[in-house]
Amino acid sequence: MNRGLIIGKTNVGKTLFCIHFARYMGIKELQWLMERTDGRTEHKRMSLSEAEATLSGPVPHRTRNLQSVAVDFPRGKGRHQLLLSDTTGLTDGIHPEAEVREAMAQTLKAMMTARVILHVVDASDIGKHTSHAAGRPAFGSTWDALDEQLSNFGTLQSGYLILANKMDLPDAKQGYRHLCQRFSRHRVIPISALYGTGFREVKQHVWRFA
Amino acid sequence: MYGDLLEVGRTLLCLVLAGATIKLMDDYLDAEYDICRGKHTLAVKLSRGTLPYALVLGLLAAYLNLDITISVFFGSYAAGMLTTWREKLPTRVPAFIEIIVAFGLSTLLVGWHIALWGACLMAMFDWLDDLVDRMTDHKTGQRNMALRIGVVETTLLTLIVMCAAILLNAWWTALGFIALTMLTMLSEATTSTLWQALDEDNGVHL
Ligand SMILES: Nc1nc2c(ncn2[C@@H]2O[C@H](COP(=O)(O)OP(=O)(O)O)[C@@H](O)[C@H]2O)c(=O)[nH]1
Ligand SMILES: [Mg+2]
Repeated sequence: MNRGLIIGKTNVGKTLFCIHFARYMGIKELQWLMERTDGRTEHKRMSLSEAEATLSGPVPHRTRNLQSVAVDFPRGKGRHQLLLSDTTGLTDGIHPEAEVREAMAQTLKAMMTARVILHVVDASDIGKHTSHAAGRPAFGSTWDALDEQLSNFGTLQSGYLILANKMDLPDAKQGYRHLCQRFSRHRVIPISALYGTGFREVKQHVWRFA
Repeated sequence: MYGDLLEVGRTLLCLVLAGATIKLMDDYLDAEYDICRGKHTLAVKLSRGTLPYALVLGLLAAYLNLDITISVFFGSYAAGMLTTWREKLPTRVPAFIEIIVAFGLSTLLVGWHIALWGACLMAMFDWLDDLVDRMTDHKTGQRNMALRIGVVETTLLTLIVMCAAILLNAWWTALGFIALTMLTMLSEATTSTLWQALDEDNGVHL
């Protein structure tokens, strides 16, 4: 099964996107496949609302291993499944907790084999920090070395997309414009993980990679 | 002379009808994807009705020339799965088994000569398509022979099957090209694009 990996910094909305996108793809109940950093896997069932309440939230590093759901895409006479994997948020530097460090290493390893990489960024945060800069867009501290490296890695691959998330918040339009100037328009899709806008475009882009 | 012309027309019509059947079937399988990207093909518009209409067209083609219809249909069936020959199908067998069965059946029914012609013709059309679409297919992740084995390799293979098709039956091959042109025009005329998808500008990005 091909993997679609959702990466990005902490609190950009990776987990919320994963849950809501799974719902958008017609999943009624989540069957998580948890891949722990020590190599063991376990299955966990939960309702969508339960997942939203327990897995996503403002506290960073709630996600501590690869947690994946399989989503179906019709193709030819049959259907293909894409394993949509939510990952631990990446941070710059060395995180004090060993568990988080291991989870980040796991994320990076999974990037090597993933067919699709969805790089989630917080467009409203980017907009907020760049809106005052005159002339050429200068990304503030929110687009740091980490996002830079992720995008450098990603733009080499055809299955790489930047999801400009939180488009429902103020300043996000500005952030999205900056991202488009920086990358080709094809690479950046404006979405709101909270309200589900832009999901059709994501679905379309991901479909044939499944 | 007049009889010859009639025969040519009959063959061409058969090829167009058989091709339309295949195209409708392919578009029907792709309908959900096409809806998602705002491309309303005829199969999308006909929705469930596609099945009976495609069957009618297929039957008419078979009436006009059974051998051509069989070889072209099975040829396309086999050639279409070549890039995914390892995949498990809904019948639970890998695609290459279905490829062998399709070609075997065709050979059994119309003889190897015509069966091979149909397979070569359809493989050639498939690969020509792959060569033309390789940029968009790369971006969208679509399976594509040129991306899988290389542009030069695919071009060579295409030329080989083209030569084979011409050697096997030059007339039918020529008519096949005409039918393809007509079908392409028909398909474009019946497809409405609701919005231009981002990945579909045909600019060269390399
Ligand atoms: N307004 C708004 N908030 C969002 C959106 N996506 C995520 N959030 C919020 O951002 C916070 C972090 O979300 P989470 O999914 O846990 O991020 P993760 O650390 O990347 O997995 C949560 O409080 C979400 O409610 C969005 O599209 N719009
Ligand atoms: Mg998370």
